[in-house]
Formats: sequence, C-alpha cells, structure tokens
Amino acid sequence: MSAGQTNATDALFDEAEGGSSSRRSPTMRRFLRHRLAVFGLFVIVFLVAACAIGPSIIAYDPLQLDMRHRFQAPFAGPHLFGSDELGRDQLARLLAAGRISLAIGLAAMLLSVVVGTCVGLIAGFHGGAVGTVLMRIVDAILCFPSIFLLLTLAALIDPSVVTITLIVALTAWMEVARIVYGQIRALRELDFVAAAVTSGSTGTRIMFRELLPNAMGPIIVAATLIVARAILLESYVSYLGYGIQPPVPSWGNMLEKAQQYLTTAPWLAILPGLMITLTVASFNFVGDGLRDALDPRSDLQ
Amino acid sequence: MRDPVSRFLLRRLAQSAVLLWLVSMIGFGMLHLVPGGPLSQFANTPGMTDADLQRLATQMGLDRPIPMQYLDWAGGLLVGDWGKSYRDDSPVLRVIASRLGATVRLMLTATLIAVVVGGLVGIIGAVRRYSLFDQCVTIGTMVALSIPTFWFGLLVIYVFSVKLRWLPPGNIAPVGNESFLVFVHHLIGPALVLGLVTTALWSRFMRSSMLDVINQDYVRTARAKGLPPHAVLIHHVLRNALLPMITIAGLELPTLLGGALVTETVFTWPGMGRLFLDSIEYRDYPVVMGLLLFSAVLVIVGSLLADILHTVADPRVRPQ
Amino acid sequence: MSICSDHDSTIDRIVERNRGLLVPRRQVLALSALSAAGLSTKQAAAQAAPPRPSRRQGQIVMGLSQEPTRFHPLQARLEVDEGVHLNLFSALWSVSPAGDLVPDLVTEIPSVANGGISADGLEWRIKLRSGVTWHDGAPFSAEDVKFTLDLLQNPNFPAMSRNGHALLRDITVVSPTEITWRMERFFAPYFAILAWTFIVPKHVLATVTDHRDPAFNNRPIGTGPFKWGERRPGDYVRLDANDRYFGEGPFVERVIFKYIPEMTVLKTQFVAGAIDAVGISGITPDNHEEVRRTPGVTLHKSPTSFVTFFALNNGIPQFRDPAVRKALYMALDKQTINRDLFYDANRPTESFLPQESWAYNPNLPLHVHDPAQAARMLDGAGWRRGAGGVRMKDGVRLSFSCSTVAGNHLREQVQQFLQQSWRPLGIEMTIRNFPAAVMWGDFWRNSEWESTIVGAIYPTAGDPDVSDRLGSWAIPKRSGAGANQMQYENAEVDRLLRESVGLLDRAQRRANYMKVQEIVREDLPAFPLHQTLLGEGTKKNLHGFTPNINYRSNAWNMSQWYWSA
Repeated sequence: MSAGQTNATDALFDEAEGGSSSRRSPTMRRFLRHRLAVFGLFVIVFLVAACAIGPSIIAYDPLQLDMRHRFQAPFAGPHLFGSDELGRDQLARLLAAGRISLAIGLAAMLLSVVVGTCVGLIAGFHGGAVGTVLMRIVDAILCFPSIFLLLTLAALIDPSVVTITLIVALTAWMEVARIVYGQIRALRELDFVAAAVTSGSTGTRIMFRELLPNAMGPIIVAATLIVARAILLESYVSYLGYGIQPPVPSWGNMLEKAQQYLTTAPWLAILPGLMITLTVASFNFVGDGLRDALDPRSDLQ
Repeated sequence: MRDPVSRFLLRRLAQSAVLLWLVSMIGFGMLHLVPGGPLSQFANTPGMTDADLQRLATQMGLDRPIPMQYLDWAGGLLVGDWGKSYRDDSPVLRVIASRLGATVRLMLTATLIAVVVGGLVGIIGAVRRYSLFDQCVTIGTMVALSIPTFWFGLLVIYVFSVKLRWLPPGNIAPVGNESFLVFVHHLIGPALVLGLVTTALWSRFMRSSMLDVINQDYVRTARAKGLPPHAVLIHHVLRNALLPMITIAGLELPTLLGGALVTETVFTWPGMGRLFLDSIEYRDYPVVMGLLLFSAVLVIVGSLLADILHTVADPRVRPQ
Repeated sequence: MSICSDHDSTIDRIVERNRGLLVPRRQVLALSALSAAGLSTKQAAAQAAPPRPSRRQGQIVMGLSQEPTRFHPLQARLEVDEGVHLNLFSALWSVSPAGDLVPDLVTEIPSVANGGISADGLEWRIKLRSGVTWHDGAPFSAEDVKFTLDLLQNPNFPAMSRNGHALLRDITVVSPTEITWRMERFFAPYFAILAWTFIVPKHVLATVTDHRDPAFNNRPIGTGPFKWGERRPGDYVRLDANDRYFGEGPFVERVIFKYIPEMTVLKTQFVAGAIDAVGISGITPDNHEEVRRTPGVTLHKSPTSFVTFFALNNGIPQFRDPAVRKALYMALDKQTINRDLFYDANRPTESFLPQESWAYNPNLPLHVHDPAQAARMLDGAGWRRGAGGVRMKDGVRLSFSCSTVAGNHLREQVQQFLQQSWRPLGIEMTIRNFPAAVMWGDFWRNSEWESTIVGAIYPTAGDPDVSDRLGSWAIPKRSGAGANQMQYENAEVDRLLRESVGLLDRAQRRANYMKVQEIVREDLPAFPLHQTLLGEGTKKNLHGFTPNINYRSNAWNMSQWYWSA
C-alpha cells in the first residue's frame, strides 16, 4: 500500500477536533453537520444500491464475452461505458466488480474488527503476561509494512475472494487491537469498572457489558476506515498480480488488466480507478464525520 | 536523571530484540510453509528433468525440515551472516545495499516534497481554519489518501509520458547517460506519485498538531500579552507543533518503504521495492527474509528514535 | 536438418562449407544466416546489409524484461542468463539457425566418417582448437574440457542437468588439444546437449570448494567474444569486447543487457530510441503494429521452439475417454484464439515440435472447429447432461479446472474464452490460477493440476528427443525422473522414443519422431495452439540479428552484430 496509507487511520485519529459541534447536539446532528460525511454516506448508499440492483437491470451479463465488440470506446456503441478486451460490458463489470470489492471491504472489516477487538479486550483487561505477549505479537506484525505482509501472504495462497478477504483482514486487525487495548487500559482505571470489579462481576461480563460499549466509538470509526483501506488493499494486491482471479471482476483486477491497454483503451483503466477513489474517499469522509460525531472530546470542549 | 533514561533505553532495546525475533519467526514460517519454491522457475527448462530438480533441492538444503532450516538461518544471522541470494549467490546484505541507494533517493525526495508542501499547507490550513483554502485542502488530502497509488502513477505516465511526452515513462536513467539532470528528469514522476500521499498525510498531521497548540493556554496567554500574531505563530505555535512531527517522522519513514514498492513497480525504478517483488516471484527466501528484517529494523529504529527524540525534546515525557 | 545421428552427412556439409578452413562458428553462421529456416526471401533481402566496419564501433544496449543474474554456465539458469553466457563462453560446438553443428572450440565435429566416433558410437575422440585463451590470458586446453565434464558429475556441484553427461566414462586428456571418452551407451541427443554445455576454466574453478561462492558469478571468465565488464544488480550487465577472441568479431566495443521489468515500458523505451534491441521477453503482440509504424526500427518475428498448449492432466478420469479429448479440441475455436486474442502473431500448429525442426511432421491432420459435431461425439460416447447441464458418464462429471500463471493476461483471456465456448456443450471449466512459484512447484510436478495453458520447449538445442516429456517412465508423480507432468502414456510412443535415442542414423530417427507426432496428434494429451513467434526489435542501422530456434536467446551471435553509418 502506498506511503503510509497504513497511517491514514492514525492521521484521522490524531487530528484535533475542530470544535464545530455544540455541546447539546446529539451524535446524529453532529454527524449531519459534517457535509462531506453526509456526501460520503450518500455515495456509499448509492453505490451499494447500484451494485446490488444494477447487474439485474443492465441488459449485459458481466461475464458474457463478445469477440466482435472488443475495445468499444464509451458512448460510441451499444455499450454505454465501453467494452473490455474480451468485449464484455464495462458498466456491467464495474457494478459486478463493485459487489466483490465492497463485499471484500465489508467482510475484511468485520473480521478484523472482531479479531482485533477480542485481542485488544483480552490483552487490555487481563494485562500481565497474556497482555504483553498478545501486544508484542501485534507489534511484531505491525513491523512488517502492510504491503510487504500482504504480498508475501498473497504470493503464497490460492487467490480467491475468500482468501483475499482473509489476508486483507489479517493485515488490518492489529490496529483495532491497539485502539481497543488503549481504550480498555484507560477505562480500567475509571471508577465504574473498579466498582464492577468489587461488586463481583465476572471478567467476561465486565469486558462485554462495561468496557466494550464504552470503547465502541473509536471501534466504529476504525471500522469505517478499515473498509476504505481494505478496498484499496484489494486493488494493490490485484495490481501486483496476486488478487481476485478471472472471470470474476473486482475493481482492482479490472485495473490490472487495463494497464496494458493504457495507450489504446484508457477508459478501461480510468473508470475502475475512479470507482475505487470515489468509494474509498466516501468511506474516509464518513469515518471522519463519525469520529467527529462520536469523539467524547468534542463534548468536553 | 541519566539512570532512568538509560534504563528506559535498555528496556526498549530488549523489547526490540524480542520483536525482531518474533518477526523473523513469523516471516520465515510464512515463507516456507507455503507451496512453491525457488526451483519452480526451472520447471519448464528444456533438458532439466525432475531428477535434476530433486538433486538441486537436496544440494540447496530445501528438503530439510523447516525448523532446521530456520535454526541454520537464524544461527547465521546471529553471527552477522544474512545468507546468500538464491539468484546470484551474493550475500544478502550486499544485494540489499546495491538497491538501497535508488530507494533512498526516491524516498528522500518524496519526503522533502511532503515536508515542505504538506507542512506549509497544514500550517496555512490551521491558521486560516474553515477558510475556502482549508476546506479545499481537507477534501483534497482525503481524496489523495483514497487514490490507489499505482493508478495515480499510471495516470501520470499516461498524461505526462504518453500524451505530453514531458517525462520518461520510467526507469532510473538510460545506460551511459547518468548526468544529474537526466536523473532528476526520471525522478520527477515517481517522486510526485510517492510524494502525493505523503504530502496529504503530512499536511493533515501538521494542521492538527497546529490546532492542538493554538488551543493551549500559553498561546492564549502570549496572544493576550499583545505579541504580534506572526511572533506568536513562530515562537510559540510552530515550535511546539513541530514536536509531535518528530515522532511522526520516525514512524512515517519506514512505511514509505511500502509505498516505494508500488511506485517502483509502476515506474520500474530499480530499488528495494522492485527487489522485493522479484525476490518473492523467484522465491529467493534469503533476500525476502533480509528485506523483511531490514524493514522491521527500520520500523523499530524509527519508533525508538522517535521516542528518544521526543524524550529529549519534551521534558514532560521524560521518564521519572 | 540438424544435429547428429547421420552426422556423416551433416559433417560433410559443414566440412564442405568450411573447405578445410577452421572458420569460427560466428562467421559460418553469418554465411548461413540467409538460408536460415524461417527467413523469407524478403527478410533475407533486408538482411543483405551494408558491409561491416573495419574496426569496432559503438555499443549495443539490449533491453530485457527479465534480469540475468546467474553467470556460472553449468548451474541452473534461465533463458535470459543464457543470452549472456552465449557471449561470454564457448562450447565445443554451436548450432546454426538451420540446425547444423558448427565447430566452436573443436576443429571438427566428431563423426564416424572422420574417425571422431567409433562405429558403435561409444568411443569419442575430440580435437580441440589451439591458441585459444581465457579472458584472463591463461591458455585454454583439453584439461578445461575434462574439468567441465567432471564438474557436471561432481555430487556436490549444483549442475543444471546431468542428462547425457552421466553416461560418460574414462574421460582422458590425450594432449592439450585432444580428449577422448567412452559412452556407457550411445545417446544421440548428446550432440545437442554438448552444444548447450559451456566450457569453464579449470585454473579458476579447480580450487573452489564452496559451490555457492559468488566470486565466479561476480566475475565470470570464459573464452567467448565478450568479456565481463560490470553488473549493476537490478539494472544492467555490461560485457566488453574480448581482444583475444579466437573467432571473428566482435564489431562493437561493448554490449549492455539492460533490465526493464515491464514489457510495456521496454517497448516504450525501444520506440523512444533509448534501447537498441529488444530481447527476452520481446514485444507483446498488441504492440507489434505500433513498433512496425515506428521509423528507424525493425520488428522481427522470430520463430521459437516455444509451443503453446492447452494441456490436460491425462491421469484424471475426466480426460481418460479419447472422445472427450477429441470433442474438447473440436469445440475449441483455435482460429479465433490465435487471430483475435494473439493478434495473429504466432504460427498455428498441430505438433509439439517447431516447424524448423528436421523431425517436424508437416502432414498432421489439421484442426477442425465444429462444436455441433463435438456435441454429437460426446452424446455418442455416452456423456449425458446431468445436474446444471453438465455432462456425466459413470459418475464422472465433465467438469475440470484450468490453471495458469496468475497475471498472464493473454492466457487468462484464452481461459475465459474457452470457458464460454465449452459451457454450451455441457462442459464445465473453472479457472484456478496461481502465482508462478506455486503453479510450477509441487502443484505442477505432482500433477495436482487438471488442465493448463502452458508454453513449452520440447527439443534440447534442436534435438527432437522428447522422452522426458512424453515417455511414460518420465512421470514425476509416479517417481519418474522426467517432465511428463501430463501423465501421458502410450506404449508405442514409449517404444519409439526408447529406440530413437540409440540410433546413429538420422533418417531412421526422423521416421520414428514423425510417427510419434502422428500418435500424439491422435491421442491429444494436449491441444497444440501455436508455435510462438517472438516479436523482437532492432534499430534499422544495427545489423546481424539472426533468430536461432536452437537457442533460447537471440543474443546468441552478438559478436556478429555491427552498426552501419
């Protein structure tokens, strides 16, 4: 992945709160005031709907080859957004690819959030040797630049939607673990946890009933940003030749295939790239807005 | 006062050693447990038979149990022997060193762009918060962080090399023409691409760091004392806002390596990223392991340096 | 015509051509280049270039999309390394584009007629050229040849292959210019194998005990027309003209092999003039037109020994029934694949041998594209449509996966095209691609794949012996030592292959290989798609480029390349 997109998450977290929100505003209102976030949300909803419904409305099958209509330029023939190197409809493929890319993004997010939360919770709550070992492993994996880790993993496995989702998740969960760990360590010191411990609640109960809900805000924000990252990562893996295999389209592998036709059929490269940028930016905007809306600090200001 | 500092350093060093050991285990296991190996490239060589491949595997020690192979390799590492490349038998460190220059030049240029442009944009954004400029920059940086680097690289090549013919389509320099100007000409494209994301990040960091400081009491005090705004900005805000940037620099530099990998691929820049990709492709285990360890060391040293610098520069975080 | 067996006639021709002169191979080749197979008269006319300069001039930058890294010529190597070896080292003899053996370090090709080989083919006597020196000035002698052949047998030495060499006994140095040996049994392909065996210096390597010591790899020493210059890893390898070269040439000061990892960038730099010649892996077919239109450069469509197959794993039940194999081939639209997907850049074929081979069988039945007939054939053989429209017979579903290297665009396109062509016939093909190192690892060796699109060179240095590929004893999955990963088995083919490698008479060998091609065409263990014509390029005023099907790199004769004004 590119220069520090790894740290995009950190960047967003580190950014000081703008103080735009009023003390009494509910979370929702604060979010809605963030115009870019609303725009992002709108785009995401639109894209999800289009990818879900689109393929069944469009007259073309995204997998149907047509050797007589290869490389048709957009708006120059029956294919609205042009056709690819095997004469398949570009629009149908973009939407079908969107399904895959979004699904990978969401699934990888869910996985990494679950794994990361569990590790962070356990390490943070128990502390001691278990916590140290767990967090050292997290540190060790974070030592690999994620693109290195991803490439090594991807080079080793049988590339499919499921495995690509798994390895993307595998490179994303550590940050969630760190966030949750930090939150839990901080929360543990607070009165209500101490109260719960003295009142004899079980560890699991305290973890899931008391600690987790209070760490939800940062987790949700991180989750949103991980979707964005996962979609980007999928495209990187595909670009380097280790991604989703044909005939299944993903935005990443469409881009990869289009690369060699850059001079003769640039639309094949431009459209999926735009889709990735639009989607990733939208998720990032929403994450930004959520952070503003959920950050407890904004209430304190 | 020296005591706690050196104790802190010692503890961090010990932690780093443990980290490196974990990294080496995870990396080695990952690489060797999966199908395929360095002899795959010869599978279709005319005249080479399966008997030849088996013999080579035995001669290279590839058929031994993986824990044994790890112990051998790690044992060598402890005495400074990083192993030899399967591709040209050169010592791994020399292989890495031979590619380091190209990558460092690319990364430094990109970082320079990022620090100057990103820093300025961040400062202006923070000072003129919510201005049109600030809002455009906020959107712009977010979009920059969302663009797939390789796609941006392809667009740069398409526009500036294929269509306008202003920039070379890649590579470091043609053979025999290695003047500085030619080199810079080749550097523009990849540095621009690698610099884009970094610039976006730096401007965001800078802006938020500035905003943090602006809201501090001493800045308000300085302002209340009637100091001219630019003096407050330079003496109080900027100085203190740069502090966290040191940490970020330490943490950021190693991740640039990953970005350099993709950029180097698009622009066929003969650096470490390209080396990593080739080594993965040919299953050159010693070199892949060397690169993984090398980048892990960078990450660890980066964060260690960041911590130390931060400790030295900011009395508040000095260990008690 | 090529290599060995009826060496008498081969040798006669060479001797006749050389008229008793010890003309170095490169000059002979320059003479014979025009008659080379695969060059049309038009091309030949284009080759009739201006005269050579009287002294060395300029340099040649050859762009490669793979990086040469291995320079010990006896260790495992890739074709891109071979291009460098061919310019650094010499072998006993070389192979011309037409397939003739040409003396290199020897003074004559051994044959029964000239007494170099005994009548039973077992005793060999090799006469070496005198006055040859290594790049470091040390004299070359028969000791170096013996050292090389011994080294290949050394159990600790990571030799690329011992095929053929393992049969040698009693290697004896008679004099500095003469060496003899005995062969355990006569092995016809050994002539070809020796053409690919470069002689290494004893005085440098005899003391090396650690065979992974990079010293030689970092500064190889040979007897070839160029000597080692320098290597910048990841960037280029430079060779300088060898003043002591025993042959004619070179006509340039130096050659530079420049590594440019992307074929598209390679093409762009060639068109822009930064590169003088495009070597491995050439120019992709979709860019041929652009190169052709570019002034100042020539596009060569070099024939290669590479044949692209849709290969089947004949060991799985889906492909046991010959009717299935025939129907699949019939339903495959070879013409569309070659014309539309490969831009008509290659030569459709029915054989595993290149058309330039002396054993090529031109009379094989041509492929017919007839899906309806294919469907009827499957019906007739008892394959009935079952669940999901996929045919079944005796509990076997006509469903299989196809694997190739992930990221190979053209092959991926062929896969998708075939998937769509076969689906209406009730044949299900899924795509399962892998990174190269996985694809060609155990997955390939142990025949875990079901079908694949693969390009393969069957001959070694032009010799048509394909025992390693098609002999049933060569199936690695069944502990065979060959490269028959398709698990092809045919008793008659086995017999013919076994017999042919022991034959001295080439006419007899040719007849056998003709028959093998016929049987294989009938059995269809793999569907031959085309013989690859590699798109290569040189600048118009660079002369001497001559494709040679018997080498894996067309940098084979760079000592004969030169610039015109």
